[in-house]
Amino acid sequence: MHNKAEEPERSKMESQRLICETQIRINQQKMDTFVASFRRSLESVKAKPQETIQNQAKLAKLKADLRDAEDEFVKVLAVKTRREAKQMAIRDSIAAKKARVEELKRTVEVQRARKDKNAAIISQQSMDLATCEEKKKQDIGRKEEIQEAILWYNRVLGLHVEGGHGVKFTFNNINMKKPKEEYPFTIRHANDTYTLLDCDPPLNNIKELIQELNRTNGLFKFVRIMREKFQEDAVLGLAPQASPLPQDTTISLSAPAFSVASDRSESPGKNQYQMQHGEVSRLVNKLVHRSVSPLKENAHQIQDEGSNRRSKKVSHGRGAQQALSSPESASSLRRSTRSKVKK
Amino acid sequence: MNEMNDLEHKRISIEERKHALKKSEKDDLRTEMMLSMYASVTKIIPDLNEQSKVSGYIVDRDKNVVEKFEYDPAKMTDFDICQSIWKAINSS
Repeated sequence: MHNKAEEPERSKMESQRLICETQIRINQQKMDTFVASFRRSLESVKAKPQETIQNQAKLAKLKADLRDAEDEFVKVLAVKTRREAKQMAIRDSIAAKKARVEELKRTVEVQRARKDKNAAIISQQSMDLATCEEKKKQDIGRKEEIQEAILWYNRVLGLHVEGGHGVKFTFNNINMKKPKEEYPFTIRHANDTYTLLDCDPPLNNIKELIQELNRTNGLFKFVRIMREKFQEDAVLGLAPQASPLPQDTTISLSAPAFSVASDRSESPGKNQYQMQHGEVSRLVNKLVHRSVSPLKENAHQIQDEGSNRRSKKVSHGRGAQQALSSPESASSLRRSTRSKVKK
Repeated sequence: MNEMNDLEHKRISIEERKHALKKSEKDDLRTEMMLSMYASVTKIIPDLNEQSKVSGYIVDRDKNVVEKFEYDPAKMTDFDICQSIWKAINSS
């Protein structure tokens, strides 16, 4: 009986058990599914932080790249700004250069005109010079005749004149026994005063002669007197032991030094040379144009001189003075010195 | 450029020729001055046509006198001729 009573219960429980087992299996499956899902979810969740870390690293890198890009941008912007400024400057420069080119073009035109003008002047000057040179060539004969005349004075009259520091006059044909013996003296005119620089042999009364020369200004006469004095000295045979020159402020015995320009500042003053320049042309003409009667010519010369003497003193003095101070051309005509002759 | 160089060369050449011409003129003037000095000191104008004789003119401006002289070198020594002329110069 007891078994029979328990049977339904048992069966019920069995059914309940079966149901439970079924339920358990279902739940078990659900649990398995959940676990699997949870595991998958967990795996998924576990990957997220790594991904986040990676993303953070990427983000940091991107931020760094961005900063670099920004820096680069700033640099590029600066370069761009500079280039724009440079471009502006170049544009200004180009404009200035263009203006300069235009100005230079105008200058070139002006210079070209000037060049043409100068070329014309040069051409004209060249032709003028050629004319002068041709005239000069034609004058060579005249110059030779002047030299011939000077040589005549040297040879026939035994007179040599040479310029330098003062004018040196040298005579020969003074001493009959020694015709070649030379008797020089050097006279200088400066500050309206004649000074004897040298005299060989020295003469006794030279001081008075110089005073007379300074008083009368008669240089040419003085030269002639000096020759007479030398001759008297030679005749008396006093030349070797002649007394020394008297000391005076206007007389010195320094040897003449050759100088071209040293005497150019000398004042023409009342110098007798001054009236000679006008005569030169006439004299030269006479020497060249020998067909003209010398007598007639001389008469004209004397008359001209008489009427024009005063004006010539003023107008021609400087040139004559300069020539007398430094007529180097005459030095080439000069012959041996006194010492050479003595040897 | 070549044209400019050519002009410059011409200019320099002209300058040199001018300089030479001036120098020549200066030399000529000096020579003439020297001749003037000889003539003034001696008062003589030589006659260079007479090669065989020594002749010329003594010019005295103050007296307006022109005196001719002539010597034969074959008959007199150079020294005597020189003395004679200077004597005439000083006495004129």
